[in-house]
Amino acid sequence: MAVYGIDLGTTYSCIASIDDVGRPAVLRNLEGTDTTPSVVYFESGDNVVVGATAKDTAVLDPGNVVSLIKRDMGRDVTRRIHGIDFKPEELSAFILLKLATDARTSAGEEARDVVITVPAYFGAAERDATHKAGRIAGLNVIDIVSEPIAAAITYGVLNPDADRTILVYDLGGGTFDTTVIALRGGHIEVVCTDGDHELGGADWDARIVEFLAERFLAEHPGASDPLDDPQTEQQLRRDAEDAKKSLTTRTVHTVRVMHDGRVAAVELTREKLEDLTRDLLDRTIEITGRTLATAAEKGVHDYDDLVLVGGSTKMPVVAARLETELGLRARLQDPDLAVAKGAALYAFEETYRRLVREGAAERAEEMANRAGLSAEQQRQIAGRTIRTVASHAFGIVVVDRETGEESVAHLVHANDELPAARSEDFFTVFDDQDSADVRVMEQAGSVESPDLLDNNEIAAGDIRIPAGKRAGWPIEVTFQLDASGLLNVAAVEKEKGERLDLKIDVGGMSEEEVERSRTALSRVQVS
Amino acid sequence: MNTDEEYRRAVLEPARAAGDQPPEDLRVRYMLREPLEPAAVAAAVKQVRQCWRRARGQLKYRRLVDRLEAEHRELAAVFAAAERGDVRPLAERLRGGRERDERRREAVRARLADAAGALRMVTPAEVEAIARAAGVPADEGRALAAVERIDVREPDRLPPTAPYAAYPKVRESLDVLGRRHLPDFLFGERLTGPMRVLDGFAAAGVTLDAAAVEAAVAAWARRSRDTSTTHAGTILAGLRSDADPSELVRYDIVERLRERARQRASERALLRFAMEDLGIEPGDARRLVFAIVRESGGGGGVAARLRALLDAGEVYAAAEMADGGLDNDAPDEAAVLAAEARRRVEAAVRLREQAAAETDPDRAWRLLADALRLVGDLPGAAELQRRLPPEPVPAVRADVDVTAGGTTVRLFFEPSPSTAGDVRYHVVRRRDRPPRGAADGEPLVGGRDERPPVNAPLYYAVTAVRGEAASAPVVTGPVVVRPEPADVAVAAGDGVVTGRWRLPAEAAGVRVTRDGHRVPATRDGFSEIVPNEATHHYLIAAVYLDADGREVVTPGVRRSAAPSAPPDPVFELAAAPDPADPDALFVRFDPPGHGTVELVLTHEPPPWPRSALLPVAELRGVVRRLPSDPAPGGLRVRPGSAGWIMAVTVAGGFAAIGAHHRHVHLPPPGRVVADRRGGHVHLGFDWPGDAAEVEVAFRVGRSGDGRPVTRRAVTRAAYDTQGGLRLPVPEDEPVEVTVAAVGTAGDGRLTGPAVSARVAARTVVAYELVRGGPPWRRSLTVRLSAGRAARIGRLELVLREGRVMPHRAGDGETVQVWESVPVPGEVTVDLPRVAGPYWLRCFADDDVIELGDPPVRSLRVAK
Ligand SMILES: Nc1ncnc2c1ncn2[C@@H]1O[C@H](COP(=O)(O)OP(=O)(O)OP(=O)(O)O)[C@@H](O)[C@H]1O
Ligand SMILES: [Mg+2]
Repeated sequence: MAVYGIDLGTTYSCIASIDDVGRPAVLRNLEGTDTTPSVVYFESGDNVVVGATAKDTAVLDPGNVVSLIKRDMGRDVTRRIHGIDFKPEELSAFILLKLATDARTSAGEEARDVVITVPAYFGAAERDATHKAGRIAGLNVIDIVSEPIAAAITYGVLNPDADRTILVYDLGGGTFDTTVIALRGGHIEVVCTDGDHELGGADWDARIVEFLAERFLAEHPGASDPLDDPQTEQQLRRDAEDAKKSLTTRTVHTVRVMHDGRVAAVELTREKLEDLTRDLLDRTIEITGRTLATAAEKGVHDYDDLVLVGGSTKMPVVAARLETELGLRARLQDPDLAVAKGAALYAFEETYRRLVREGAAERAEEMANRAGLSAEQQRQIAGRTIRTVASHAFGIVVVDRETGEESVAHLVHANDELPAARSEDFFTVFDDQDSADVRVMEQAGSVESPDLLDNNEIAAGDIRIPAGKRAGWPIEVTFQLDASGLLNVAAVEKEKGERLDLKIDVGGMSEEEVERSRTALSRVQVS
Repeated sequence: MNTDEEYRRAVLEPARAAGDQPPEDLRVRYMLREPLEPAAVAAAVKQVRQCWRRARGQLKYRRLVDRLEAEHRELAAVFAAAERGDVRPLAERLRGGRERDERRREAVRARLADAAGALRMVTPAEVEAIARAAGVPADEGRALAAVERIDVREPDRLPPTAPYAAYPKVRESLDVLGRRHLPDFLFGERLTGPMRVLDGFAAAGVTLDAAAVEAAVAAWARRSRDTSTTHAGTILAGLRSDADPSELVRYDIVERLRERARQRASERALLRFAMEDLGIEPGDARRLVFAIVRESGGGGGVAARLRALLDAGEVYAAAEMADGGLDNDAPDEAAVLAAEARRRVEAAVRLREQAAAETDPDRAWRLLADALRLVGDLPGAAELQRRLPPEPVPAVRADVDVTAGGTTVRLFFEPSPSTAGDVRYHVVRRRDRPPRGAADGEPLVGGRDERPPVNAPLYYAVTAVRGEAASAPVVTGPVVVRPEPADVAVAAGDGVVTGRWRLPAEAAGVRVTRDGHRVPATRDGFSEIVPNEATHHYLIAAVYLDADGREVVTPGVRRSAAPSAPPDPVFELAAAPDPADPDALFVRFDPPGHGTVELVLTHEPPPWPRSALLPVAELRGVVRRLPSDPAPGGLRVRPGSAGWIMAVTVAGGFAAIGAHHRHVHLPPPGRVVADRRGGHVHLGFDWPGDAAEVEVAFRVGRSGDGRPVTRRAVTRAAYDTQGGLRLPVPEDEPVEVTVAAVGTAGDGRLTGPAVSARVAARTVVAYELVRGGPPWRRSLTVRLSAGRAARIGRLELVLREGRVMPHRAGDGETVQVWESVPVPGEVTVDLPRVAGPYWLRCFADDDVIELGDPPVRSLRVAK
């Protein structure tokens, strides 16, 4: 059975798998395009439309259309539509369902086993939410993998047998990531990563929208503010994105802003666009600089390539600016599709490795033969290791016994190698205490801080304490961040070394809720 | 009511109106209710922050929400305390909020008073700006102005240029004659009271009209001619010109005030000048001074007005103003601006003339665009530009698309080669003859004709349009749309085929052929008797009559049908597991007389009675067909999940429902792990398929020694809640455990294949750590004891500094290793010297021996 890679993007998503000759290929959707807008339209509570049609509808019925869902992943924010509260995981599940269903139509077989990509800078809660979204969509999520790693895999396949150090600069629709990756002897090692969740093409669009609205008001001082009308705002967003895209090849573009029965023809030049968004680009440059500094601390100074990923890197100013600032010539390799293709390759290779590991050698062999891989290639895949790092520091809330003040003690630091596990001792505070709370926190800013405010809670749980224990009874809790950046927690009592019951919910949704959502959503018609 | 909407209306919108200033009152901002309850506060804060996040999706709220979030960070400690149960800091804040609000209002009143000055007047924009800067809603700003008795009004628009071009001469003459202003000249002594000039001229006892002017003319005519009469003549000429006398009077007054304003007179001085020296009624005087002060932004006069015009792109108006009324002693700046305006107008006029002479409309368009960029109000340029047609599109092609939804004509054309300006395209359609222009025919949107008239010659024309001018139309055609019959369905029965469709109303008839032979048919269907067990191919075409009445037949729609005798059902069926493959089943049945048997899986009992006959399509919509291999006496399938396996016989388009078998999927449990933990064996595995329970059997002792087997049924719930199974087993005996899935099918219980695991016997060796020896040479003895004699392959004593117990030998430093240690027995080492707390612990590296730790207090050394 085939396995699939899904690039679940903020603005566009894409699904790929391995074709008959072992190459990753993107599967088109029913509308015939490679990428599907990550926009969800609720025609009713049980009929949902995803993709270009939904994006078109945003202009007519903005109240029932949701976009930029990825920005809410891992956050406790719901959207109320037709009287139902939807969690970000559920909204993302609709997009995944659409991709999987369309892939089934074009590939002729069920798309069930998938790898989903997330920005490298995503923390444990966001990764976990993405994993859950996959399960809500009824998919079997083989793994969650970082987008730059997926891009690096595609890159590595296109440029085989060369040991290289590359800097991946990924500017998509909603997030920005920079990652330093070393490719050595077929192995992939992430040196360090950094980024910003709220920086992407959509912010470029927002600047243009504000500009258009401003110019419209200057021309029609008596008219109402176009941004007061959600329909006009949606229309302007579309116009803005079109203008931005057209300005990659042309130097002027005219937008006709229509609102309140009036029209203003606003001319936007490429220069003006670059002026309006200069600070955004500056932020990406600053973060890139920070990444290079971290890499330098880890002994990486020279780069062979700068790989540009993400649709927004098509803006000519990006490559130009990076070249002047870093002196690196950028390579633009399939920036829209490289991630999905890499994810498909990863899904394929990882399934193959798991089969080999579980001793199902013939099935592995059969899978490789179907994809036409030589024995040498198989050996290489079987032996490939992928080393990743933590994107954020994480730790636990500790209470000062004297003052009662709470602070965060970090156990794993940003850019520590994964998997990383740390154990911490706890002691009960009262006699006959029946449970103990653990709160797992993750660094929220770009540097670590012990202040609770500077951290997000990503998991909370309680440990059951057997009856009849005195105060001071020792417990050891182990926190593990696995290679995909997902969090696992285990507790052991220290007298006998036995495991303790632990109920922990990472992110906003419990396992039961995931199951409930999956059942509820399976009744919804998605097209 | 929707919280988001309410919050937007009650909090976000007012805050936005106040210049993105969040409400100071936290009760409003966080929808808090008094008395403050810790849980309610926490819930409200959470809900409000979610509202923020959602509102941030709309651009207009983004800045405000970012500000709210930033301020929330500052407040986080207060809310954290409230959440913990201490609402005092929050209550404290709420009290502070009220005071801050009061202070803000004070600030607005003071600023308004400053702005209003001696006139006690401000503009609406100023009120809004002041309110915004202080963080108070605009409405409240206006209310505060009312409290302060400050008038809020737009300044009157005063004439920028003289209504009479030679006004400077009039003014000179008035000065020579020693008149304060025009009314003084006209009415002299008769002007006794204050006059109003803003809304028309009015003063007690006099009227300003043509008669008054004529009276003055007559009076001066009576005087002997001298230089005074010449000057009076100049003034009277102005009054008798086509300029309205009251406008001229107003301009005269305004110019005098402007002059004072340019000389930096204060507001108070201007007001006094207007009322006392010029004799203006106090209300008008205030309005005049207010307007003049606002007009120049506090000085600048002509220069400022020129600049305002230039900035607004009204360069032509600026040049006119400069030509019309710029004094020779105008300030330098004004002169410079005037020169600039004139220069730009000249250049623009040149461009406009060049454009008028240009034959290429595109080039002319660009010249005019340049001219308009220089001078936005250049007379005639915009009109001329709007009338320049673009080049026509190079070529047009029309394709007829036939889809399920209907027939569409799609038009393809390259854009017009004209690149200047905003070129748009109009597409029109006409029957019978080509359109002659953009308005000749039905307009079409988006280059598609969704409802083309059927069976008629159609012509399409595309015109390129720029402004009000259109290119010549480019035509394609004639296109004749003749749709095929729609919704064609051909169904086969037992020895019969029927067809059905919808024929377009315009079609004259239909032509049906089977394998080349005509089949009689009505407009909307046919029915024909044919032999069974063969596939028949039909071609269904529509017939139209062309303009000359000749028949035109469409290419037609192809359909096939294979009639057959109805299938016979399978009456009985038996299923048994395949011994070679635990996931597979052998399904046996007697082959039916007619039709092919397939097996399907349903998840509920099949809804159809046996022998029911239904269309195959209907069946496929509800059930999943199981892939199967032929096997002796039946088929071999891998159902994959539980359900009802049903035999259906398929022939032609029909399926006969046969017997079914209830199938339960009982695979062997996967990944069975058995670990010994003290007196128990822990058993874990992947829950097998749909098993309702598993049967766990275990036997203590070596196989063949005849000990009884203990069996237990374990439900899934029991397994999940305990996270595995704990089987009590003596530590020093081996044990064999088997697990098998159990399910019910019909009335019987079924057990799936079992998987077994074996756990070796263990000998538990207890140890004690005993400290001994003299103070200068302390020793540590490890004393080992067990239920029976044994030997430990390798014993390791480990020390770990700190407060954490070592869990593996690798967790600390090795103090000593002994090989092959007899039990019972003891070994001794020097007591390690370590400062600070530490742990000691022994580890055995041996397959069958397990060490039992002594009480923790003897392992932990807390110094
Ligand atoms: N030619 C172009 N010029 C400028 N921007 C472009 C162009 N083409 C696409 N984009 C922008 O790229 C973005 C989409 O890129 P991509 O599909 O890589 O992002 P994503 O996967 O949706 O988001 P993310 O990876 O951040 O979650 C959109 O904002 C889109 O407007
Ligand atoms: Mg992306």
